[in-house]
Amino acid sequence: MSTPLIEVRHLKKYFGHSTRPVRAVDDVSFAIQPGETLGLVGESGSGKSTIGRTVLRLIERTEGQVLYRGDDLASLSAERMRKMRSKLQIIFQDPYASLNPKMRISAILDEALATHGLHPGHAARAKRIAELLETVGLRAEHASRFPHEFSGGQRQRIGVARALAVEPEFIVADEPLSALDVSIQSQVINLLADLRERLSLTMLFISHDLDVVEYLCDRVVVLYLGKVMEVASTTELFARPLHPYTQALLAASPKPDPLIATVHVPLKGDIPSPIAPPSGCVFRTRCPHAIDACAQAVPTLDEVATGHQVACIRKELFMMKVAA
Amino acid sequence: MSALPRLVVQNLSTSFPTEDGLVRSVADVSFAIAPGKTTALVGESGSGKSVTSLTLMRLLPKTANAQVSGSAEFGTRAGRRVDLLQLPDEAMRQLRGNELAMIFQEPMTSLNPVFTVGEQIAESVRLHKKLDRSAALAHAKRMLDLVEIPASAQRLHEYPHQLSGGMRQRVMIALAMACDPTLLIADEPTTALDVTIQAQILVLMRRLQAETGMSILFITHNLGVVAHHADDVAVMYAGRVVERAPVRPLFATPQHPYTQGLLACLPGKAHAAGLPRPKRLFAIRGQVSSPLAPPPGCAFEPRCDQAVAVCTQAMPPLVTIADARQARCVLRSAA
Repeated sequence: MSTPLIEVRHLKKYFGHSTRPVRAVDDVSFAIQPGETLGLVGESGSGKSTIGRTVLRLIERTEGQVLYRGDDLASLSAERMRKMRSKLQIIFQDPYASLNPKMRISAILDEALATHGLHPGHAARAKRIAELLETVGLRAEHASRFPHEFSGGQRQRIGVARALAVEPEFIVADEPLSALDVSIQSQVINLLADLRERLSLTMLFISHDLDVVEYLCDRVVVLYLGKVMEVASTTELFARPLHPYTQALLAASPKPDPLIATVHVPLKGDIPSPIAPPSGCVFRTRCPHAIDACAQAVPTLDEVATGHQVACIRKELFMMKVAA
Repeated sequence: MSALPRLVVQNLSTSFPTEDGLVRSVADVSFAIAPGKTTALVGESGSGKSVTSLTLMRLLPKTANAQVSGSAEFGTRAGRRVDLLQLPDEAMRQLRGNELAMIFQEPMTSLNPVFTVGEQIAESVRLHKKLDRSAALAHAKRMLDLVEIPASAQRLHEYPHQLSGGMRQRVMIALAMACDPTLLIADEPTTALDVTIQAQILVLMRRLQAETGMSILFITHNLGVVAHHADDVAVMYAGRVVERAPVRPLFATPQHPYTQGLLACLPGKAHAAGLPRPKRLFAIRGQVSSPLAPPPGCAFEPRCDQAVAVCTQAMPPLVTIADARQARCVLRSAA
């Protein structure tokens, strides 16, 4: 395998008081190959967004490493990190909150270009801005408008244009579709898929929508309470989910077809507090298969097939079931 | 139980005067809900789903100066048929929170932060069932048990901020169920929740419906939820019902181009049908027209791939095209 574009090693992000911190991300490791789209799924509080922001150093990590082409981003000086940011971009969830309402679209895009000294000169900038708007399916004359003049889907396209302005290699897409209506969602999904191919982008795609993840991602990391439960290629994960949490997550998301009977694995209760996570496996308090041993030690993430890793001490049980 | 529908809505229209002109949020909407059944109202933002429910509950703010027409015939427990839109305020107040209940999308903003959940549930039974304080609190505890809240005796005295999102939505349901309603309007009740919690709440609503025989008007944009939890579906677009059908035929053979597009653009649809994932997703082009400048003919015409010349001339009527199926499209002829 080639050198990963992004490699996350034993990443931890704790918030708040040092004696009783909120363990938002607790020892997470994964790698993203160039050109790959990695999906990060999990429910609220699983640490998805915190990982996305920590990877880009929008917030500083507590422990662990984030390597970009083998270099640890955290060790870079502020000055070098700022230069590096043109390679690393983010698309935010809420297209209403992530565009400055007082700036015209041209100014929003120009700021990104100016920060990195790209396309110097007024005419060159204007040309690049027009080109960017066309890339995301808007028109050049939209540059003189303000964010409030656009619909949600169009604003998300502007968010995409801003991320692309500096010609990044890697994009964190943090729930870029969840604020959009279904009919607009599919337009933006197609746009992201097209751009990824045309510009050979590498993506970390954060989402709670499993159908979208299945459609867009090559591999998936399933998170629960700041820890990785399972990693597999998308096809493998959806065909052969081995972790009880992944199984429950897949079963809980209703398929848009009344003829497909839903196999309910209702999980009891709520996600526990990340201030006092359960001992051993963090999922055991809601797991229908938990036994006493689950409380004893944190399960390791073991490879069970090529590229398929599971953190569960009872995984053999599910592997047999799937094989049968 | 009578064979008459619990609720029959006919030609419901709600318009709001604004500085820029009259906005018709809901236009000519008709549907019915049978006793013990669930009708889903499906549509995207701005399609008029929530305005429909607020109009039926008469909860639109007075300051909105809503202009409402049409009728909403409701069968009361006493066996009378009343028009919800014509009832005097006092009579409406006796139905609302009693026979007619509602749960909202955001459980945090719809619970009062300065009262314990027990007091909030007790309030409605004290009002409608004339119970005294201690009897009402005992009833509130039973309601918390009904919605499977653990340690209900303790939770009764907690405030909304002490509960998780899923627990708050359970409290909202307990509140709605307190007076044993015959019609529950659920406006996006699981949209703010995670999928595993959504599954719990949907199972709970099903169980309560089976036990009490209440009817549910389920308002949602989530077609996956509709597929598994509705009996009948009304699809709304730009304030109008564009298609009505029982749930299975709707998903099997959608008739209106908008319904067809909505189902085709779901990324999970191909997988659910066992097909390989398509290279590109189907996308409905463009976006909903402004309600201030609706297109002259069919509201969906500017985005419709099947549009023909006549579509721009007049809004097509909702016609019956087969048994229990209706569509508002010139390409679908009457049965």
